[in-house]
Amino acid sequence: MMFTSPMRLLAAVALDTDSDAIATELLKLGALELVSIKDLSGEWTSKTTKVEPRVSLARLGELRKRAEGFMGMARPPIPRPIINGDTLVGRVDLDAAEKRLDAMAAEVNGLRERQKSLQDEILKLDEILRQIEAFGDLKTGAAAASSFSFLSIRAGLLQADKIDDLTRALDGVPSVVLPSGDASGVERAVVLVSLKRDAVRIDPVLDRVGWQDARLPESSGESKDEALRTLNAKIDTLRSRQNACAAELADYFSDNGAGLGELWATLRAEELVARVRSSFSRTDRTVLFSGWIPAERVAAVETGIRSAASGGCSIEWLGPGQGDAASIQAPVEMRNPAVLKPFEGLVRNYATPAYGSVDPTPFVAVAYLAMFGLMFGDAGHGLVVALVGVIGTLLARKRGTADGLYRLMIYCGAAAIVAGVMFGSYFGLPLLPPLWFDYHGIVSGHGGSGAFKSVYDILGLTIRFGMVVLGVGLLINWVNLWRKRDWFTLILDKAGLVGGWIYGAGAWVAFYYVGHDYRELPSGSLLAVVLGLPTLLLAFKAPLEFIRHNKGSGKRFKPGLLVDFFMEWIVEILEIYSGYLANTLSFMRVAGLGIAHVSLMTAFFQIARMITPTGPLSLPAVLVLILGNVLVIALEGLSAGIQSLRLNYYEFFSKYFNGTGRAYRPVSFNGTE
Amino acid sequence: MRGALSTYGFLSAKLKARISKTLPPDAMERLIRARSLPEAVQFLKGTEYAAIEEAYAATGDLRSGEALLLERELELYTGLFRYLDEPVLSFVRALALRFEVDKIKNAVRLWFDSVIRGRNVDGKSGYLHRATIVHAFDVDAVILAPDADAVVAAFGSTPYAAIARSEMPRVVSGRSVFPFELALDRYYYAEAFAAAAKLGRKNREVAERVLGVDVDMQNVSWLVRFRGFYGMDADTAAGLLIPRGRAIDAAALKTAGSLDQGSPGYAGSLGLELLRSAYGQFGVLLGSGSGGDAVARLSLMEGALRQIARAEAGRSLAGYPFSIGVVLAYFTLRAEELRAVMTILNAKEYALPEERIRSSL
Repeated sequence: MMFTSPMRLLAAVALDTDSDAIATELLKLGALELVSIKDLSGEWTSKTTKVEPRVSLARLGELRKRAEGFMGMARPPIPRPIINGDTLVGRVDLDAAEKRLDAMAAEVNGLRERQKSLQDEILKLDEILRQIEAFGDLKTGAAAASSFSFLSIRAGLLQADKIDDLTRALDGVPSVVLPSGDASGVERAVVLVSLKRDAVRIDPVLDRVGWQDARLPESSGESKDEALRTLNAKIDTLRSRQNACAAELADYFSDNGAGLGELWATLRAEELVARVRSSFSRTDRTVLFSGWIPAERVAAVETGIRSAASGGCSIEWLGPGQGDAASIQAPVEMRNPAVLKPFEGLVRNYATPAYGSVDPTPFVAVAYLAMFGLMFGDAGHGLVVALVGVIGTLLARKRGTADGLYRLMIYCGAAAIVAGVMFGSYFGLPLLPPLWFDYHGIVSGHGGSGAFKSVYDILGLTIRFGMVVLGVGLLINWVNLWRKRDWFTLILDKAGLVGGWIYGAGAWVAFYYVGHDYRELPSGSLLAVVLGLPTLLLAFKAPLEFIRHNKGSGKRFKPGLLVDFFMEWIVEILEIYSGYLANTLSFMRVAGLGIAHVSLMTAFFQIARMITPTGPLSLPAVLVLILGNVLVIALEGLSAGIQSLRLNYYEFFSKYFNGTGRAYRPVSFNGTE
Repeated sequence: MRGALSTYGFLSAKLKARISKTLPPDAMERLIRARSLPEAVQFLKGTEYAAIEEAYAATGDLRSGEALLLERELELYTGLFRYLDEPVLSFVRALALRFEVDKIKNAVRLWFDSVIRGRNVDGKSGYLHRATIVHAFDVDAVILAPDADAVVAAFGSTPYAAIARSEMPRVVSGRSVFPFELALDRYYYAEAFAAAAKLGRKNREVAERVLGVDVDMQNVSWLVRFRGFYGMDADTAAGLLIPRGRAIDAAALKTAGSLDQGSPGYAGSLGLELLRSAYGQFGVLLGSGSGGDAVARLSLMEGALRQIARAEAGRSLAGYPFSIGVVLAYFTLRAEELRAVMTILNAKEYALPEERIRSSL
């Protein structure tokens, strides 16, 4: 956890006949990051060829993606099963899989076609609807329809018992049958609205039911409303049938979901095994493979490979930079407990640390939460943030999506709760006395006591906090350089011992000056020792670097280089003094955000009191307070989160972080692509 | 007067953010290689084209997804209006006329099929956009118009009424919507160039360059069709071309020589020559020969011009961000991508082979 995991490079030879079993075992173990044998230095690459996959990787991949596509069509999508390499590999019949997927495609296509034909009906009814709506009444419509519209509006007389026959016969033809007049009569007036083009289908039906043309009834205005109602009802029915098709599809997937999942798992397992095996190199009868493995898993991997190869293999382990591994960069595994994973994500988001260096995750966790708490110190607001984080985490887990951000919110909320209790702030109200100091009181100008009496004391606190953070950064840098045996940089770099000396001495001088009411500095001789001496030592950096880099290269010293050395020294001094000053003062933003948080809450309380000057707060005043709290939580929460990240990335990381690492990505059955 | 930063800052950020969501090339390849339409549509889930997947899953109708997507795209454009001041506002409104012109073309085609040709068009107007884009008119009144006069009346006081009044008699007598559609295109480009002329010098140059490529794309297809499919005489054909193309317009044709030297194939070759001379740096896209039939040449020229348009868009995006170039790049890239996606999906619906789909992109 303190440092990135030590890695070992595996270089192995086994019989080709065991290659499938070995590839399967490696995927099951999920510990090997493959390295091409060709990348190794030494004799490994001679007389080896590429291993050709036994099945087409492209076809396997295509079929697997098709299966994934169908799994995604289900509502909710069918989850990808956990692959167990023990039972699945070697069973795939690509032709059969393809046939199965084709059958699935045909089923889906058929249902979509049915939905589409229903949609065509809906569109036609929509058109009738639009036209009828455009007419004042059906009489006007009939007149218009007779001349140019593609709508046909007809009135007629029909035996009452034939109306149902007519309605049934016209099922599937975009039309509306509207009976009117006395419902108990033997013969009833009927208005039929349809599309002209369907006359060929409708006329024989009308003949069959004994339709007699008649004049449109006087109550055509009502008929129009009735027609619209009927049409809307028909459209709703068609939409329900479309939904039924979608439900049928859902049922189809729920019936076939398990089989589809199993097919996907089989294809995926086969594809992975083929892919791993094709990354091996081969001779006539043997395969050679290589890859990085965390040192602590070496024994398990060796046992697994030997078991898969039934003992018929030769295995060699190399450390980074040793022998044939000299030319390959070791990957970086950051091994942190689950509780720190969201912070590991923040580190990865910036870059992967160099191999073998200090893993900054635990330090980032502490620094980030401390900064957030100081900027967003309110127990009530923290509780809201934490609750949002809990809900988000639960929802993300249910959906199977990443929950890192929500977990981070839980931690930030908890940090804000702790800080809120320390400052005695609960939704901006002093419900309980503060355990540390009254932030609200100090910002409002009436609550200071002890060491914290004004906002300047809060600013001072954050500056000290910043110095601790930067100091820790320097310490981590020294540890990293010590482990790398980079003594020169350790001593003379601006983030090395001399740089740290200047920073520490500078801070001491600054506090001395402030402690003496801005009137007195330490004595000149003391300043010469604590600041002058390390500054002078920096003057040797450029010449020493010149000697180190040009030793044996034949490059000669020229007097003009003295000017270069001098200029480099001056620039270095400026960088160190201005850089450290800026880095430290940058932490004043922690106080700034915290003060803004308190000020905003104070402003909302004042607005609420302007609405209700005395007595209990009125409803509008309470609403202002609720809205104010929501606004502060959203805006300040976001600002505090971003500023904490910024301070970590640009002030803390700049002291020690070397982001030249390459993330460790082992192959496994259930890993990411 | 507002500076470039305040004029284009928001616009540039908003459109560049959307451009960043364009489909990667491998997504197009996956679409092409999909074995069926439902499988192809499924790939669009989680992309900017998710609307197609949602609508298709609900209705089984590809057109409903396309209509939904167009609706959202129009919302973006009309939504931009309120963030803009003159003269950029006029220019973006002029660009949005493209959608309006396409909507009118579709409506008039339906009217023409129904009233002039007496064909059945029921159910075909369902997906027409009905809300106002720039000018307000009732699109259903156009489709349901009993005659050409009613079509003119349906356009009310919009500029399209005058265009319809002047062209509809020819549409009816010639039994072709071509004169009306051409007049609409000429109107659109006239408006776009007029709005571009009011922009500052650098923005105007960028706008005219991009619009010029667009005009060429239209003229190339017209040029071959005039001669090949309409059998039009040379002077008429040249006179009908949209002005201000970078390579192809009536003036360029006059300088290059007569169209009367034969067949549509000659028109195609002439088009190629003009394009080569105007787009020297992209000449390689147009090949070196002049062989092949008219359709092949047309497809070659259209493909090359599309690539030129994409290259222009890339140039605008890589350059100074606070200029009209970003707006034009967005229009170009989005239209091209939508066209490609819909071409692939329609081809999947008709189960066309992969190679044929690739050749039509």
